[in-house]
Amino acid sequence: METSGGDGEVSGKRAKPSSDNAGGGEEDRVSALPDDVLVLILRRLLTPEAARTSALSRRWRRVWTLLPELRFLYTQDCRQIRAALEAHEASLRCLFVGIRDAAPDSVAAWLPAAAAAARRISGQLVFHNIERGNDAQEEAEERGAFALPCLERATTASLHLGLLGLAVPPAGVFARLTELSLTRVRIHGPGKLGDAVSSPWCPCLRKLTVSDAWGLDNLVIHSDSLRQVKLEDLHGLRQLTIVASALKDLDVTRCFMNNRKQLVASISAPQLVTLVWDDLYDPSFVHLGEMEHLQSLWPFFFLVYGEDSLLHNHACLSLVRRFKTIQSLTLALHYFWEIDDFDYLMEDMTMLPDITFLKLVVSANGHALGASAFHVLRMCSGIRRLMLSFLAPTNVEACILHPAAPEAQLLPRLPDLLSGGHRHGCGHESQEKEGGRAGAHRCGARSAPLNVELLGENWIVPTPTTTSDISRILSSHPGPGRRLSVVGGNSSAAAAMDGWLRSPALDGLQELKFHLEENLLRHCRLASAHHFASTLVVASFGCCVFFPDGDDDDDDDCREKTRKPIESSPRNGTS
Amino acid sequence: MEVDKGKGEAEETRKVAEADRDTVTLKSSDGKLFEVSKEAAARLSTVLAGMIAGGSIDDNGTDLKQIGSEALENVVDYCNKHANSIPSAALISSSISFNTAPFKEPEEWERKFVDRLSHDALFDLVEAANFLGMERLLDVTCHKISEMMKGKSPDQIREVFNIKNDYTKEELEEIRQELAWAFYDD
Repeated sequence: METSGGDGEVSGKRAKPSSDNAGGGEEDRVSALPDDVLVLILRRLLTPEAARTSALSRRWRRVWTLLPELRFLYTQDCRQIRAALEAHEASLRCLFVGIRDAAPDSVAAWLPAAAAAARRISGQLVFHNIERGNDAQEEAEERGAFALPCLERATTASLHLGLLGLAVPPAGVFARLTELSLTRVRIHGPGKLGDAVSSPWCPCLRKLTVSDAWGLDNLVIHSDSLRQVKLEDLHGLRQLTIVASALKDLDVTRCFMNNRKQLVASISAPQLVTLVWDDLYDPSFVHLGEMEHLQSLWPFFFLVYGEDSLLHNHACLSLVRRFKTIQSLTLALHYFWEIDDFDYLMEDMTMLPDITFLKLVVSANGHALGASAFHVLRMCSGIRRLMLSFLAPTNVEACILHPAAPEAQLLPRLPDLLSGGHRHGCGHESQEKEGGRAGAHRCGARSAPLNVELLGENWIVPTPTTTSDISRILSSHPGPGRRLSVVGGNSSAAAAMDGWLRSPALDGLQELKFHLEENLLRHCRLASAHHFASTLVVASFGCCVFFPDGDDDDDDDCREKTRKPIESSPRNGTS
Repeated sequence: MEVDKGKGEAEETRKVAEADRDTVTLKSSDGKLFEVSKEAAARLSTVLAGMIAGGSIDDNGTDLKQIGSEALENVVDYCNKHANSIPSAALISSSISFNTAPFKEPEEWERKFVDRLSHDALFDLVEAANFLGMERLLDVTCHKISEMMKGKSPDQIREVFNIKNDYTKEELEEIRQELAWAFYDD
């Protein structure tokens, strides 16, 4: 499949390949191209490099100023950016600025220019400041503040400030902004962030994300346009008010849990479909209005062992109790490392709403989890779909129930192994013990379909134990494969996955899901996924490169399948 | 009923006729004829799509007077290869992360396709792609040209592309000062 024809008679002309240093013909072909084509060439260069073409000839003097996007990737000298923004002329569709550990004076030097340029942005603004290390917080106090620029025409803005301050102006209109994301910011006055993102100022805002923010003790948002709000780690938040008539997804995570006094939260979101309230909850201080359309709920985690009257469990149970039916409930069960001095608290969970899809996320930290998991399962007689995600050490605990137990009928629906964080350097004894038990039990479960799910941040750097565990399970399981889900993973994982995909245990796989790290695209060539083409019903691939392993027909089938709608899990998988 | 049936038959014949001609014939400036799949041409070139939809395709060879035979051969070659390739990009999530440029990188075969071209053939192809409104091919060829510029000084770039420096010494110095930020090495 090299070149199709023509090599013979024109080969003379092609003898001189356009390698970088070989001077071309006599003519200057590139300068003869129209401006819009030159812009296509220059936009693939970094902005300083593109600007240097000014020096080529008069033809090139102003070409770079027509670029619709300016990109500065992790420069240390902010003066560059200022000068470039001042020299650039065209309207900007995109401004990407990456700075490594910006020093206060250099930030101050370019901020005014950035604010001026921000007015010209008609599309996307991304500013990303990487700070030196975790201890940079105090030092950052003295750094300048980034004034939230007036984004009159920008549609999306993402500011990762590395703990620089963000000065919210007292008034301003973000007329076209649809997405705003603020990460690692210290929020200052004079204005209030809540006002800035509310309807009068931000009439089109649909998606708001604020995470890892300091200085927000009171956040009041009134919006008719917001569809999605995610608030995560708002340190010191005491009051939260959201009145959003069109809001569908709300995620409040770890905002109140470290700040337990004088909390007030009031949410009015009648159209809400998904609620993640991974935080303290008590009806006395969290007022949730009517949520008739709610389908999916993720309450605070539940501690399986702990001291009596724990806030976590109270928060979890009282939120769940609000609802009679929930289509999709995610319950997180958590075990402390040491549980010897604690009471078993599962008995506090006496009833659950009617649930169709239960997702049980367990971080067992090496403890046997059968009892707690089945305590939950026993209360969910109506579930039609169950997903277990184990975030703790990878003992094959999902199978420690006895085949004769009534719960055994659930077995075909249980995942065999899920993995995420491996406990580091401890628990050898218990792991061996659990491993042995699981191994013994596995014989009884051999005919069950195989469900394997890998998730969690630690999976991105898979330990040899994780990969060998999974390889072992796959190779010892002759039953029909059904589901394999991998979220995260890197190039070394790709090799292991390739092996897993070829395992006979997965023959007949019906559901396959990948979402790999984006920048590792080139390393992950999952050719072996192709042989599932005939059985796959649901497939979801993110950031993978597939290379043909067989004939082309297989690929066509496989592509076809990926277009089918995918059921997405509420939390893990997509961020 | 009678009418419906007749209509159905007419449609049937038309379909057959169309199936017969699932390629279009293109004629280069120097009179050579090339065949390309109608589907690929319509998908990859906005100009050809317009001509096909507007019925201005000539069965005996649609004249493309601006495009020489070598460039047209490359265009047709690209269309055929594109039709046969697996668009792995379709499987890649389209989310734009900060580090990735907001456009698609050429695929391996596309790189090879432009790498084998001579300097002149590359520019002939850029012009043809631009003329035919072939966005993807234009992207791929421009990517190649940008790679020929990457990491080079203005002097080196002039040499590669035969660009004549028509600035005076003073003008050049002025530009270097104005764009000091861009010439700053970090």
